[in-house]
Amino acid sequence: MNRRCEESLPLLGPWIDGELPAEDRSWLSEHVAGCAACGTRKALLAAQRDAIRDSVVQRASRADLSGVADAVLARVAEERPPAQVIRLRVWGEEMWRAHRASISAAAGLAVAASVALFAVLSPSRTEQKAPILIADARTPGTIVEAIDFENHEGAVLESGQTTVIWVDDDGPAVLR
Amino acid sequence: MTESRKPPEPRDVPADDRSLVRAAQRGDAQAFRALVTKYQRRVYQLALGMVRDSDEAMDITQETFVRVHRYLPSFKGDSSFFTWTYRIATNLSLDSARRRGRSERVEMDEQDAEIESRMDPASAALAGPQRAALNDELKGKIEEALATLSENHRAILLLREVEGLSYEDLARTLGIRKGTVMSRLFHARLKMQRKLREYLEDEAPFKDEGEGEE
Repeated sequence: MNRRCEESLPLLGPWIDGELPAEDRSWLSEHVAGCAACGTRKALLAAQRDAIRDSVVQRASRADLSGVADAVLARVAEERPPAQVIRLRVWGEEMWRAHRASISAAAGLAVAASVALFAVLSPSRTEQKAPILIADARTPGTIVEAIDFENHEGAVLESGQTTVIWVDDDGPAVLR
Repeated sequence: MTESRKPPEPRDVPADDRSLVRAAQRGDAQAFRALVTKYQRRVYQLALGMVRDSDEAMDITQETFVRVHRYLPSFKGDSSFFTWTYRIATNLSLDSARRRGRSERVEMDEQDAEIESRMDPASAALAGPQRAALNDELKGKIEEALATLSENHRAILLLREVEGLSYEDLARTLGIRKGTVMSRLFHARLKMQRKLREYLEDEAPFKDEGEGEE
């Protein structure tokens, strides 16, 4: 077997199957025309294909399949959903097929409108997230005083209405 | 050298399948019956080739169409109805063949050895492509040879040689890539040819280039 024969070997099957790319067909056909061995290989592939097909088809042709459809319909009748469900499902699919673009556009618009509405009506994040101010050290009259709680340092803030106490677990308090 | 006749082209068939499928999807039992009647023989052929038992092939055929009916509402028509049905039938046949294969492995090995032993080189001189004309002995040999292939090789060979699926449909039906289709088909044919060499040629046309599954 020469190099050209080796290259031809995997392409003979696709050739007889009608699946060979056009660019391979011309050189392969030229090679096979001049190479008795590859010509025989190709003929054998076709002969084998026909023999397999004839054998299987012939054997299957002896079977009586006249009862298959009835048997299948009897089985599916047992698991068939109610007619209303089928009609509803088919209606839904038909509607989707027929109006896919309109339904998609309407759904998109609805989503966009919902997002916009939410954005307009919901309270702003800054308002919602703003910490509750119980005392402001910058308010005139407020006193901040460092305190030593024995094992902990801390600070006390006193504004006229509120007293806030900080206790530092780790180290001395730093007041700025 | 003459081209052998082409296998039936499945893509030529389903012109009116679409309307039958639509009607069956709406619950029209007669439309579904028409689809069953139209494809039952080909599904049975595939199943019989795969499992080699007529009763089991009949069960697979029925089960295939029961599942076709069950999943019909989700069939979108992206592939042809035929290819879709074949995919279901192939999967059922593969499952069944694998189950049988496990219980018959020892028996198959013995058969394989017997086939090989019958390949008497002395009779090879009488063989040739002209002997491919089908006779009972060759038919029996083909069945035996098919039985010795792996389930994957048997499936691809039957789908291509008997049912004439295109490489694209083979890829879709078997869930593999087109490149895998080509190599798997090549190896399946090669193995088959070795089993049948006595009947098809006086000398193996393909040397043993490889034994791979793909």
